[in-house]
Amino acid sequence: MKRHNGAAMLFLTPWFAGLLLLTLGPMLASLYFSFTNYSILAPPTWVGLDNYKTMLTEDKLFYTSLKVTFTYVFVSVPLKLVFALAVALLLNKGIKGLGIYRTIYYIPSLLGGSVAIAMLWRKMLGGDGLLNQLLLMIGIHAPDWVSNPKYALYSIVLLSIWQFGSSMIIFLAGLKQIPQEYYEASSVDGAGMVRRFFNITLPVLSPVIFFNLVMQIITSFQSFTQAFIISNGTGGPINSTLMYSLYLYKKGFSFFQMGYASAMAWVLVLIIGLFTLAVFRSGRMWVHYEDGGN
Amino acid sequence: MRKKVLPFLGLSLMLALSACASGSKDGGQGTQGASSTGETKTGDGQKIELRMTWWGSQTRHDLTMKALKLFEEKHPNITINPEYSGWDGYFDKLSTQVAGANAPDLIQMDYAFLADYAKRGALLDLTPYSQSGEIKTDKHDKSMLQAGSIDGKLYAITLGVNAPGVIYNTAVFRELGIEEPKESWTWDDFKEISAKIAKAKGKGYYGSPDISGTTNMFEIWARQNGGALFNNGQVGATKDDFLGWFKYWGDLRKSGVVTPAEVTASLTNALETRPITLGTAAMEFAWSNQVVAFQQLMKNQSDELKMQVIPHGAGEKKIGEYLKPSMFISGYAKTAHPKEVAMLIDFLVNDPEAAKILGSERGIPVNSDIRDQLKETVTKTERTIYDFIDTVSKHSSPISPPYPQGYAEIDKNFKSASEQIAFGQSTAEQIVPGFIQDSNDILNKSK
Repeated sequence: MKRHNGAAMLFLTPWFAGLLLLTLGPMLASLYFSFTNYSILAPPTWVGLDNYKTMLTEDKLFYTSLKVTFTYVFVSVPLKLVFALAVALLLNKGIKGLGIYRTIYYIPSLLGGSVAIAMLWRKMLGGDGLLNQLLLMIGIHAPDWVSNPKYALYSIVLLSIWQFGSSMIIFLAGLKQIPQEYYEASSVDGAGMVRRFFNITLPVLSPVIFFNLVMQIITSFQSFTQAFIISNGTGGPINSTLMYSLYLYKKGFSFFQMGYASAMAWVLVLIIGLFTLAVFRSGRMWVHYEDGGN
Repeated sequence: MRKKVLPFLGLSLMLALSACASGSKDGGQGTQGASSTGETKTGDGQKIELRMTWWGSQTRHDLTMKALKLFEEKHPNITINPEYSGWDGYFDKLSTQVAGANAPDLIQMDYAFLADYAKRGALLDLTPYSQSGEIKTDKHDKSMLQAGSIDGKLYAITLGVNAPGVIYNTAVFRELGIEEPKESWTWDDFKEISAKIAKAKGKGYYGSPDISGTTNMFEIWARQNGGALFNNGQVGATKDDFLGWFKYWGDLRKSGVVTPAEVTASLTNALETRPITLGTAAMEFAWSNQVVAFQQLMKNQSDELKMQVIPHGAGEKKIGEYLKPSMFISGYAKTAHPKEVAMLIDFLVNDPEAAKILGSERGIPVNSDIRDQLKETVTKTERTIYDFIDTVSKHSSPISPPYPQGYAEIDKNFKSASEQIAFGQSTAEQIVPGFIQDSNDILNKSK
C-alpha cells in the first residue's frame, strides 16, 4: 500500500510543483501586492485597503469596465449557448459528412482566441471592410462597427458567438446520450417536434447546459484578447470596449500600478466566485439528473 | 467548477511574482556587470548577444537592420537580436518586459516616457560611458544631452532632432490652386485651407484628420497661450486652453472639414493607415522625421510632401513650436553587457557609415559632424526636413521638461475625452473640469 502511494506521489510531483509555483505562490503574492503601492520597479509599499477603497469610491473607469464586462457576459453567453445548441441539434440529425461539418464548426473555437483572427475581424467589420462593402451593394450605408462606441462591444460579442464550437461539441455529445426510446414513446403518444424538444431534450440535456453555462460565464468574465485587438489596446472608442481584464492589464502594465491591478484581480475572483455560486444555486431548480443528482 | 478560476488568476498573477523573483536575481547580476568586475568578461572571442527594440514603420525597420548588420560585421563576436514593432502597443510591451526583468539590452525611448522609466530605475546610467568617451558626446547639441538627462544623470542619447509640424501634399494644393502655407500661418488659415480642400474634393476627403485627442499637439496650443501641458507636477494648461482647443476642432468637425468621429476613432498611429497616405486627406500633423516614411508610403508616389510649422495662435504669447529629440536610445539597467550596449549606442549616433545608412529617418542627426557630412548628399525629401529644422531652429521656444510619471494614463484619458465630445456624448464644458481634476489626482498619486 505504501509503495503505491509513493509512486502516486512521484507522478503527482510535477502537478504539485506547478500548483505551488505557478498558481498558489503567485496568488498569494498578488494578494500581498493588492495591499501595496507597487510600481513594478520600486519595491512595494504597504497601503492597506487603499487600492480597494480607490477602486470602489473614486475610479470611474472601474465601474465603466464592470458595466462593459457585464453587458458582454449577459449578451454573449446566452446567445452563444443558444446558437451552439441549435447547431448541435442540426448536426445530431445524422446528415452525410457529419464529421466534416463538426470539424468546420469547431475550427473557429480553435482559432478564436488568436490575435490574427481578431485582426481579421477588425478589418472585416471596419468602415470599408468586407461586411460594409456587401451592405453597400444592397444600398445600406452602415457605420464603422469597430470604431463606433454604440456597436464596438457588439462586434466583440459577435466574434465570441462565432466561437461556439466547443460548447457545440459538448452539446452534441449530450444529445447523443439521450435514449431514443424516450422520443419513440413520446411520438406514440402524439407529441410534436416542439413538445419533444421542451419536454425531453431540454430536461435531459440540462446538466450539459449547466456545465456549458458555468464554463462560458467564467471565460467570458476573463475575455481580453478580442477587446485588446479590436480597440488597438485602448478599450476605446470612449472606453466602450474597456473590458475588466483589459483595464486591469492597462493599470498594471501601461500605468505601472501593479498593486492596484492585483486588487482588481482579487475583486474579479470575488465576482466570478459569486456568479458561479449563484448559477450553482439556481441549478437546483432547473438541472435534472436522471440518477437524482447523486 | 470553481477550480477553473484558479488557473486564470494564477496566470495573471504569476506575472507579478515572476517579476519580483527574477528581478532580484537578475538585478544582482546586472548591476555587477555594470561595475568593474564585469569588464573582464568582455574580452575577444566571447560570443555576446544583445537584444534591441524599437518602434517605427517598415522604412525604419529596414534601415535599422542594415545598420545593425554593419555593426555585426565590425564586431563578429556580437550578435544583435532585433525586436521591432509599430508605435501602438510598444510601451505596453516594454513595461511588461521590464516588469518581468526581461527587457532588451537596448531600448528606443521616447521623450514622453523617459522620466517614467529613468526614475523607476529601468534605464542604464550612461554618464560613466559618456565621461570615458566610450560614447562620444562632444559633438552632440548641449540641449539634446540635457533632454536625455534626468536628475543630472544621462539616461538617453538622442537619435535625431525633430520638430512638430504640418505635412501637406503639394499635388493637392497645386491641383486646387491653393497657395502653400507660409511660416506665419495661423489656426484660422489652417481652418480656411482645410475647408477649401474638403469642399473642392467632396465627400470622404478631408483637409486633415481630427487630432483633438492628440495630447502633444494640444500641448503646442497651450504653449502658444503662454502655458504648458504640465507645470510643477500638475496640469499646466488652463480650462480655457482645453475649451478653446475642443471648440476649434469641434467647429472643423461639424463643417465636415476634418475626419468625423467614427473615422477618427478607427485611425491608428501606424503611418500606413493615416488619411494622407491613403489619399483621403491633404494635410497631417506629424513630426519632421516622419516625412521620409510618409513620402515612401504615399499611395500616389508622385505626390510630393512638404512641411510647415504648426499654425500660430491668434495673438499667441509665445511660439509653441519647439525642437525635440525625436527619440532616444537607452540601455536597460539590468543588461549583462553594459559595455557592449555603450559601444552600439556610440556606433548608432557617431559612426559615419551607420549615419549614412540611417540618414534622417529618425530625425536630423544629433552629431554635428555627421550632420555636415549627410547634408552634402541628402535626397529631396530629406532636404525638406533639413530646411524645416533650420526654420524651427530660428523661431521656436525651448522644449518643456519631460512629462511627469502618470502621463500614460492622462494621455489615454485625453483621447477618450476628445472621443466623448466628438461622438456627442458630452460637451467640452461638461468634461474638461473633471478631466483636469482626474489628471491632477493621477499626477499626485504617481509621484
